[in-house]
Amino acid sequence: MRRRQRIAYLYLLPGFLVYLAFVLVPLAHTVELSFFEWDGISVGRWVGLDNYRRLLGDSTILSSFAHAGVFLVFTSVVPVMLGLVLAAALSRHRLRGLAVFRTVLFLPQVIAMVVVGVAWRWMYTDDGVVNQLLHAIGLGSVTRAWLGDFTWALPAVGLVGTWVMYGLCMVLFLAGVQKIDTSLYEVARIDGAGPIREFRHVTLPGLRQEIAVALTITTIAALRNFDLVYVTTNGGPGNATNVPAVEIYRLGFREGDVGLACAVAVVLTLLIFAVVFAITRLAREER
Amino acid sequence: MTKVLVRRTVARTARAALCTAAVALVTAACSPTPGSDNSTATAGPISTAVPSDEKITLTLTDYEAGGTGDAIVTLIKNFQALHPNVTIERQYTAFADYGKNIKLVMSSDKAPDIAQVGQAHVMMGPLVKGKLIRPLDDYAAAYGWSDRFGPGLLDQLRFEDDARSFGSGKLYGASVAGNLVGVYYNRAKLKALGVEPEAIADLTAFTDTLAKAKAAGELPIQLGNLEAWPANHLLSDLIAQYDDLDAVRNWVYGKPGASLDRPGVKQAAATLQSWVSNGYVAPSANGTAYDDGVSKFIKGEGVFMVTGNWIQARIDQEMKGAAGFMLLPPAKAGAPARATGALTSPFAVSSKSKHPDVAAAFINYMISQEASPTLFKGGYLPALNGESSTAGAGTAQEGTLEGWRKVTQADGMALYMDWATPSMGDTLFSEVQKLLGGKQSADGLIKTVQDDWNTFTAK
Repeated sequence: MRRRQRIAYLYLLPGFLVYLAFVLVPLAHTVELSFFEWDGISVGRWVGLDNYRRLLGDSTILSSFAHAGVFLVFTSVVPVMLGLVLAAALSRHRLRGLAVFRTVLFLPQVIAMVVVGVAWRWMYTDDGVVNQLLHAIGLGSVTRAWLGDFTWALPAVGLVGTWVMYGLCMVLFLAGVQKIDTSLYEVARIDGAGPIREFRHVTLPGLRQEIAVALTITTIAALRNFDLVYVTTNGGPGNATNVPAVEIYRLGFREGDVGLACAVAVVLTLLIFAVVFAITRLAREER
Repeated sequence: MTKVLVRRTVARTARAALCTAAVALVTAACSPTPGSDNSTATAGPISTAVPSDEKITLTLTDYEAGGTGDAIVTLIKNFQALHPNVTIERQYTAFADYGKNIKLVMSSDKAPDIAQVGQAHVMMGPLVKGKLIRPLDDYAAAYGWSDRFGPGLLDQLRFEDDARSFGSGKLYGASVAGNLVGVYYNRAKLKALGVEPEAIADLTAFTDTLAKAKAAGELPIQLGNLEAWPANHLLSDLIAQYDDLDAVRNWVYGKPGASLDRPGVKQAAATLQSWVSNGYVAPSANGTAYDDGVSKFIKGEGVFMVTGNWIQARIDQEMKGAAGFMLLPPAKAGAPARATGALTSPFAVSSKSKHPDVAAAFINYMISQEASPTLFKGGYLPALNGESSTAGAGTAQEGTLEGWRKVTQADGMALYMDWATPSMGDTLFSEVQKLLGGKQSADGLIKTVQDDWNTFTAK
């Protein structure tokens, strides 16, 4: 047993070495750098926890984490809920052309995020598609240049995140639904359950694992969100859509404040770990 | 059951600890302290002669794309024709990546001999501090570079040894051209308003014209500010008119005691604010991309647009003379010409270069009258004294050429305000965006920006 186990570890070694070199070492290096004041060239200076203290006292950085929280709602919570609704609707009835629906709804996932960002940036301009639609339905009074509005820029970009992610959630859930024993649905129907009760007591429990996976993927995407914000608003107007990943980029590459950038990166990593850990724990419960 | 679990957990923890220790070891072996200290290359005797008896290969890295990139390539070819034993290999990197890489590139063992290095603290400062680029004062004296540029113009390429402030100290590069901010105007629309561009002699007359345009149902100032930097040029060009020029420059250079909290700056910010609240500036500016704003101006939306000469080629090509360029008028008519503007990103010599003489000789060639026509053809705004390039009549280029000459003769370059600290771009731009959105006052903007300045200079 022991011998076999040791050999098993030997098989893991090549993979682990690659993981060590390209993930763990850089991660440890980032943690290490977060204790230095360093401009990226000249000799760094050990400052202990100073960068973390600066982080906590910097309203711009703190607000970027708050914005990440908003993105969490738009890019994770809403898509998962939308995905569930869509999956429930699409799985209940045998639709003709289901494959077409599925493909169309999944399409945002296929497009590169930068392209998505540029396309939506155009749609959100003062004479863009969004405002044209609003005019068409008689809501001309609410039109504005959405990405330049201090109140609406963040929800506007968040909505793009929803659009990108809900298709992925739906496909995951549709696959999950197919694995639920159809006899459970039959029993529920015989017992007189309506579509909502059926969803709550059969579909939802059956999808527990898929929901955990979807939440994990979308949460990570939401919290580390860089490209979407960078392309659409670059954190503006003011700092209204600034997120930690953009802040890390600004600090590290533009402002030459590598230590503080690493500190933000470490906090972001811990935050992602914590949220994902909570999700997996929740998914495991009641099993 | 619990026992097994406990044992397993212990084993797992032990393994995890072991891994962590291994990682720590590996990392520690790399570098206990990041960065490296480069000793200054001892400045030996220099020569302005290019040796002709040996094969010499230099590398040059830059981010000039399009016409200006072609001009650099042509200059390299011409220089190689003059010195057949010299080869210059050009490494182009797009600007978006260039700033991120330049520190790494210049600290590598195979650093390019010549590198384009933006002024101030984002690129030049760290390279000076890391002693990765070579002071060029000896070559500048030997070649007589200071006589070729307008008074004080080369100061912006000087840096103090501690890299805390610049504008004085050693010279670290030379620039092939200049850039400046001014006002593009739609000729037909201005005419319809009954205003001659020459008649806009001061800012009062300019503001009156804005009011007239607004009353006539025109958009007075077109602006796309989604990227946050464009409106900053509008503000700083106003500051250049209202405030004391030396005070502005000292602030940009990081000289002790400089401050932005001055009446002239306040007046400039308040003026911009009043333009915004009167609807003179495109109301959707913060949600419109810069290029889209330019496109709108070209399509005829907007009487004026305040931005740099970098769009002049596009304006002339697409508007075919329908737009002109003038400097933002001074606060008082007849005052000397002032504008937000500077030299283009200079070329510097690596302190690791084995052939500094040849590198300097090429830079000297790039800033010679001989190279000037090639640069002008590539779209550069000539910066040399006595430069005689002429633009087609009725183009915006006429205006940029004349504007540059006026401002340099008056030693009136106000430089770029985001040069002041490494983080000033991020701080100032978002503050101006807030000012445009009605979320920040003139005083609040000045305070936030000055706080950033104080933090950096106090370090």
